[in-house]
Amino acid sequence: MQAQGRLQADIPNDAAASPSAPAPALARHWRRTRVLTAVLLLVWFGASFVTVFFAAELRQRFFGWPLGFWIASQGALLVFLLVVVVYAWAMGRIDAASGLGEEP
Amino acid sequence: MAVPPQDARFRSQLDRIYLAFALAFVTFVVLLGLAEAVAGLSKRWIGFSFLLLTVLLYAGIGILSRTTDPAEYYVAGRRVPAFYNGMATAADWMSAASFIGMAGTLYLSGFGGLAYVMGWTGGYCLMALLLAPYLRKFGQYTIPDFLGARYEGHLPRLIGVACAILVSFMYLVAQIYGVGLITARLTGLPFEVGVFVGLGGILVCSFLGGMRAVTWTQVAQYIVLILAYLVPVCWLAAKQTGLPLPLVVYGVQLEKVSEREQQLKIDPREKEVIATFQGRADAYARRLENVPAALEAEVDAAKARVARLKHTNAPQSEIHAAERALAQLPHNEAEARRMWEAEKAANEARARPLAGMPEHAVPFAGEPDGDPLARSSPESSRRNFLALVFCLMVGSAALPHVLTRYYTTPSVREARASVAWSLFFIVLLYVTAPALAVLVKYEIFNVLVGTPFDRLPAWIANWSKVDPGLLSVQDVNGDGIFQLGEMKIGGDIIMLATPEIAGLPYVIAGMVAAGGLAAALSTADGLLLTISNALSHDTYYRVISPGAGTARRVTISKALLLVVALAAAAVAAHKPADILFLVSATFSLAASAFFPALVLGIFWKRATRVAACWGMVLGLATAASYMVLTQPWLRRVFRIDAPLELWWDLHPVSAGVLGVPVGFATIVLLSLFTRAPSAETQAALVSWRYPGQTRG
Repeated sequence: MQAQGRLQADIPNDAAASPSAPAPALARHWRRTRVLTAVLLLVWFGASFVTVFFAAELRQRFFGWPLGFWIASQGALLVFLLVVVVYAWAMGRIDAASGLGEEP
Repeated sequence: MAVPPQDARFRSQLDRIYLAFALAFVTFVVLLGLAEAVAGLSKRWIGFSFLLLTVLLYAGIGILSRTTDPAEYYVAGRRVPAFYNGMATAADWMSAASFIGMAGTLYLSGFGGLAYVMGWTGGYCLMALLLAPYLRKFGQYTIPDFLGARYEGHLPRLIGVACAILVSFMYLVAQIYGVGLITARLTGLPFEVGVFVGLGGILVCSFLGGMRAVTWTQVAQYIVLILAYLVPVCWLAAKQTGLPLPLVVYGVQLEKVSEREQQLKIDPREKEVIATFQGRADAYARRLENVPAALEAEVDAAKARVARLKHTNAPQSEIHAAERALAQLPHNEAEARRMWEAEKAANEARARPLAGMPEHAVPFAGEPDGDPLARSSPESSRRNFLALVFCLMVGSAALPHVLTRYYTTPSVREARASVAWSLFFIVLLYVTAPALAVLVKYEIFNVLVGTPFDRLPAWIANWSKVDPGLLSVQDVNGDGIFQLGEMKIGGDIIMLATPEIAGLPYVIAGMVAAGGLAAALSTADGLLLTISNALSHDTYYRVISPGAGTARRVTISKALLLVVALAAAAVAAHKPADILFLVSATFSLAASAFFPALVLGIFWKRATRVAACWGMVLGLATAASYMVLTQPWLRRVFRIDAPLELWWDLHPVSAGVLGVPVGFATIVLLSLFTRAPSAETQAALVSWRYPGQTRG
């Protein structure tokens, strides 16, 4: 693609894809991507830094674990996994809604 | 979305191969176990078999995947399915430190160790949301490629090259060190030989087939390492509770351990042991008050003893021992001071409740004693925990050898799915490590403590023979009963000894060592490729000789790979001091150097070349100088004499907390004062934000 400039002209360019969707759809796609990213980053931040900040106060028993310990050793990890899975799934839907299917 | 038929065929072929591989590996372990039980196969042979079989296997995959095609060599042909790229990334990611060290760290520092568990998993959220899909869409070969294209020029690319090499080389040395250590354990060969044997295993794979060989080997290595990790832990859980589900049962065990900690804290026998160590420390403190006099007295006493023994015609062996003791006394005041200070600190460290370990389940206990680096209030211990989590997360997201892996997927969509699979495979191990630490603690605190010395299980004697530095047990108060304070245990032993603690046959111990080897080899392979590609692709091909043919580029890459590997092995064979610190420090450095430039490069069109260059340099410089000013070993290396001062009690390992904001601020501020990137670059950037037709 032209716009990627001289630097890449001399190598097989497998990123060569001009988005096929019209400009407003692309703008909407990027807006939705950013909103999704921001929301999921908040979840990530909450599960890691906010809960751990209060770990010493979270002393209730949770199946034997003190709650703070359980969150830091299992709960937060599950949330991380969830964040990444939800992102992959939701981005797929956003792509489809903007007509950006990937296959040739 | 329809999957093209050739991809589906490729995928099902992979499924068959790796399923067969996993079954073959299990069969091999079972057969070896039978040979051990029935024919009495010796430990040494079990060790050799594991080393030989796994290294040959990895080499075999390397030879089968040999290639000189650049797309295959650099990015495995970009057709690695998300699931398998996830496994390969997990193996690439989990190093010897994760496999062997993490359970030990968790055992020794309790809640504090969870910073590693959270940091090394949470980073994948940042990678998934902010970097991986965009880098895949950009679709070149390396991270400096991205910096060069986005920031329009050779300078950002070369700074990227320098940072990538610095970070990856430090990490590589640690991996090769780990490989040497495990090989030596497994076979009884000397450490230096072990380093070079392991190096052979690394090289034959990455040298012949580049990313393609490394990818398919890493998948195999993941299978080996996860089996080796989970089997002994499940077994230990079954032994203690009757349920082989460590993640479900360890809460109950943790509760029992916490109760036991309270008992041990007030146990009179434990107090006796503590008093003995305190007494020894005090004796050294008195000598340190007047070093010359104390040294003279010691030398006189030793000389008098030798003379007395000779005079009374004592046995020759006793005289030799006394002479040796005399020769080993410090030769001058400075040496005596150094030796006694070390002895005093060592004894003080053991003169503490629970052998110096914090209560396992208590967050941010703080630490009232010790030097300025060790001392902390609960408040600053919480701050350091969060700071470490931050650095490890941001650093994980910015390590070049992991990011490169996402170039190998067939599409952006697969790259996103691939991060999810990676995290799944990584979490599988990281969520188990805290369970393992608690189960081992239960075994030692609740089962072993209080047993008479002559009835201690065999694994204690076995491991103290291997290396007394890792495990030593001594009846300090002379009551014939084992107390917690009488055991000195190193973190690295926890995982390696688990099979024996669980009462499993030696063959499982061999399997665990093979798993550790797989973890170290796979990470070393990825790092080695990153370094040699930064030199051959980014420096030679892109900057020095852009006209070079493809075959020549791959050849040069292979030659450099050899050089880098030998250099790293040479450094590792010297056993550089404080290798664990170097590994953790890598994360702060990678975070400060790469993260701001990469994220702003993707999300902010206005970020400019000058700003990015300064941002990377200043971010890295900030983190590195804080480390040099505060880390004891680096202070000695750089001869820093100024008094040690910590900012906000921040430990040197978390210097990224300073470096990352400096990097972001520099890029934002300077970008606003420099000319915006060209329209071409901005348009290219926009195109990287959308998935599209990404197949070549």
